[in-house]
Amino acid sequence: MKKARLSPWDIAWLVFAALYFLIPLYGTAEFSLETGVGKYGIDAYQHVIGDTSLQQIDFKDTFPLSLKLAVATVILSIVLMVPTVYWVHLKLPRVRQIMDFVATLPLVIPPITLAVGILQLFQAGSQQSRGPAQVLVADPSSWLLSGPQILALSYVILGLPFTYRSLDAGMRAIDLKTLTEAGQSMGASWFTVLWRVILPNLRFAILSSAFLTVTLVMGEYTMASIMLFNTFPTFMFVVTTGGDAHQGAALAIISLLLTWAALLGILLLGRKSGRRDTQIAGAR
Amino acid sequence: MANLELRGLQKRFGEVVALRNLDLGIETGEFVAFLGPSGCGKTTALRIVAGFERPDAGNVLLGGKDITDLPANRRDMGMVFQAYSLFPNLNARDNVAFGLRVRKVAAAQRTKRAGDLLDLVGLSSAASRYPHQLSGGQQQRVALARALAIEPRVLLLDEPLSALDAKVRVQLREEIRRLQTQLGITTLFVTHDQEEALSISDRVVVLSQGQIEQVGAPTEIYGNPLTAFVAQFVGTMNRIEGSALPSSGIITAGGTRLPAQAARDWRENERVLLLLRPEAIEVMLGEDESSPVLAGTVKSQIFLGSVTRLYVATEVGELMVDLGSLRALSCPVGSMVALRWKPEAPRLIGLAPGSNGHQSPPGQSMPGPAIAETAGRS
Amino acid sequence: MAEVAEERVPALSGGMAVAPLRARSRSTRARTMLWLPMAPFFLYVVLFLVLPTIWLVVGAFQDTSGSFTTSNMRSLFQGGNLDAYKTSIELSLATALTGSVFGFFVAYAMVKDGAPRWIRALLSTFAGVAANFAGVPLAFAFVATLGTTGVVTVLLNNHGLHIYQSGFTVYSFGGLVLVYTYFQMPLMLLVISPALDGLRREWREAAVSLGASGQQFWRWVGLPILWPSLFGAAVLLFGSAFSAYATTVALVGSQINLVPIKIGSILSGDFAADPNQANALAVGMIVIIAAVMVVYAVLQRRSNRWFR
Repeated sequence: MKKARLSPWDIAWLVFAALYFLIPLYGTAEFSLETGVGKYGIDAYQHVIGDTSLQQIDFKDTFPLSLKLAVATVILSIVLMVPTVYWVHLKLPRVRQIMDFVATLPLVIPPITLAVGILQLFQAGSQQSRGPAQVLVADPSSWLLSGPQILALSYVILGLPFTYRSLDAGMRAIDLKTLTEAGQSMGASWFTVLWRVILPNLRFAILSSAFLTVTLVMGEYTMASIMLFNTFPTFMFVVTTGGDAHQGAALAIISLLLTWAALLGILLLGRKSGRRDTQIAGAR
Repeated sequence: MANLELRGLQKRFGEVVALRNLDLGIETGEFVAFLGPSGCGKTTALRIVAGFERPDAGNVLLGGKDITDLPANRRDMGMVFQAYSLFPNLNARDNVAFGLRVRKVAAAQRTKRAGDLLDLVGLSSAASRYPHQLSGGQQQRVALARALAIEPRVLLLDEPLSALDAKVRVQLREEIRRLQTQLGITTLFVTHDQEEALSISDRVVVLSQGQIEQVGAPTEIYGNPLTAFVAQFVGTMNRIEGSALPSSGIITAGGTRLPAQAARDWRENERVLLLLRPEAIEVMLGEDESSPVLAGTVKSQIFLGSVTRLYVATEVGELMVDLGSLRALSCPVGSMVALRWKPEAPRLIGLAPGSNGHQSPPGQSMPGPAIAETAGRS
Repeated sequence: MAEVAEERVPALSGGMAVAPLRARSRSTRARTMLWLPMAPFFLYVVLFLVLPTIWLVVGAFQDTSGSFTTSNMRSLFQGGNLDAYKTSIELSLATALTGSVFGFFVAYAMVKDGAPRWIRALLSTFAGVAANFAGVPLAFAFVATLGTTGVVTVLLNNHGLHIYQSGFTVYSFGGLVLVYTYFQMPLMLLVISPALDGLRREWREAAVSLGASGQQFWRWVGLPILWPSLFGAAVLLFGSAFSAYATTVALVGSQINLVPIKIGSILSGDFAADPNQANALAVGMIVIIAAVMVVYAVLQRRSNRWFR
């Protein structure tokens, strides 16, 4: 039953919010479509995607890299977190509190500090030069630092709060114990139970955490720049602060559309599974 | 204290019509229950009286004064909600004293009055406890004390017992009634539980789909239902369709004649519904020489405590028959039983083609000040 | 327990020397099996979260030759570094405030009974988008809007309001506040909505039926119940602003002295300083944010009291 209507005060705030959110987006979009004074076209988009001459890094290299990183991070997160959260829910409920705490740590340790720490740690590690330490520590460390793999591994940590929360909520909603026992009573191994029984029931939670991870990775600038990798966000930075403003705007719009698509994906998935509480929207 | 009058209340929410022209008068000090299934409009009516909803049309009058446009916080009515209405950040005492604080009553006086009221509801020991430390029943008692603290002119209760355990429900409803009688407050009690409504009200208003089906004392509603809806909703009824035979009763499509004194008021061959309470059907003892009305086979039994309900298959359909559990032992499943009833027992309700049984026989008017919709019976 | 097992085992295996060992390992084996599957996760967290942090802290107490020193940490309380912390804290407080107030009123309007459902869905989506838009794109969006040739700037100029001539610039502390609020407000929205949802309609109606005005309700019931959540959310906003890096560096580069910016500058060589200084600055950040999170946790526990 509808009770109080919206007062003018409420409406004023809502309108203000709408304007505040939309005007910058509009400004960016307009900028991205300006080709000259009063002229409009998609030149900026074409240039920023196509041009390879201007900068040392370009769209063709950075965008696919970010995508690959996103996919890798998602896979790593799922492989690491799903069995872990499953096990905690099933066998170690008291560890939940510790998990909650650990999952909040990446929010406490700012990405910039984490980047520094990881860099320094593995740089130090790669300098071990005596016997077993060489093989066990130095070589892996150098390998880790040799390419963007270190980024993917770091991003898993960055995304931990969201991934954990998503999976935790998802597992809480299904009767894990009964499902597991049912599977095991039919002779399934742990792996089979996870793969065939639990996973399908967690589809929504996994997909929503995957989408969130993707938006995180596609937008993450801090760690990538400190660790000197050329990802899509760093490319955006270079173009925005150095190159053509219109192209910068175009990239911003592309990034926005990506985020939008990802979030819409979550919402649509949410509606399909009949959920009314996605990670993005507040619960009724 | 004052009397309450609802005149022509109408309310719709978008497409849904919640109230279709409600007219009702409630005397000072009367305990009136609004009874009906969910969606019948009973809560909407209550909320309009409280001031939380504005009617699309109609008026609410308190003590003769029109309060339809008066804001809810100026109506001087005490309200008890179904659950969770206690302020969680205040203990029981402060909750009860809240209304007094709004009215700028001095602190010492507030505390005293709150204490008195908590005594009244038997919770003085819990005065310092917070809502989350109280059981459901205790919370509702505090809610009641809080509503009464402001000495309201009208007490409104919106399904206050629905969220409680069965035992607590029975206890609490009797306490509510006791308090109400003691204080003489005009009270409106909304519920979907007919047992609740019948056991403690002065009058019951049965609602369905936004309209009043019947208004009357509990015995009236139970014993003398005027529409098929009331007959079905309140208590259990056996229903047998047939055509009226004014001299004796009814005759069914299958040709069975059944006695019903009420048929006197109907015209020959009018289609009617015969309603009969399970407890009104007697199972005849073997020695009884008089002729039975119907014979049948016991299909199943349900043990209800002191009473057992038999489901008996007869030529007019399956009938429910209540009898004492001891006697029921001699009528096991599969046995044949002979049934009869007193001719005065059945009620008849009109079944003109296309109607849904809202009609009364010709010449009989609706009791009470309520106006139920009649389908144009001349 | 061990004795019992000792008695039984010889009957099974026939060997005596084996017995005690087997008995003890049975329960430890069970415990190992219980905790083993947690190993990958804990290992990962240690390797990529705990160890780096420890290394970071250790590095803060070392000088370039690797020997122990507290000079890096002490330098945090001097000159440029202290300024950086001051400005960072000021900025975080300011945007925590703007984000909280803005976010609260919008959230309240959205959660109200009378609000159409679509407003909530729309705002929640936008909140998600805006919160993720933070970083380089956001900085640019504001440049495109309020920069010297930004869309709104030009619009205002055309109407006689030459804001840049009056001294406004988006590349300033004020500009940062404006920009930060763009992701602070949605964060507030997302965090406070559940708390507002928890504010049961019955409480408001009960208060009204007892004669309370809107103000009385908020003063005696609403705000007392909400304040832990409100404060907790504001604290979260503080932490979020404090750690912000990408948006800031994209907008103002090193023009404004903030701790994350300083760290970035030292590492990239723009700012001449001992790299361990960056460590020290980072440790300072961690300490401040940790304190912030502790406050948040305490407030969370308080606010949970009401919603049992």
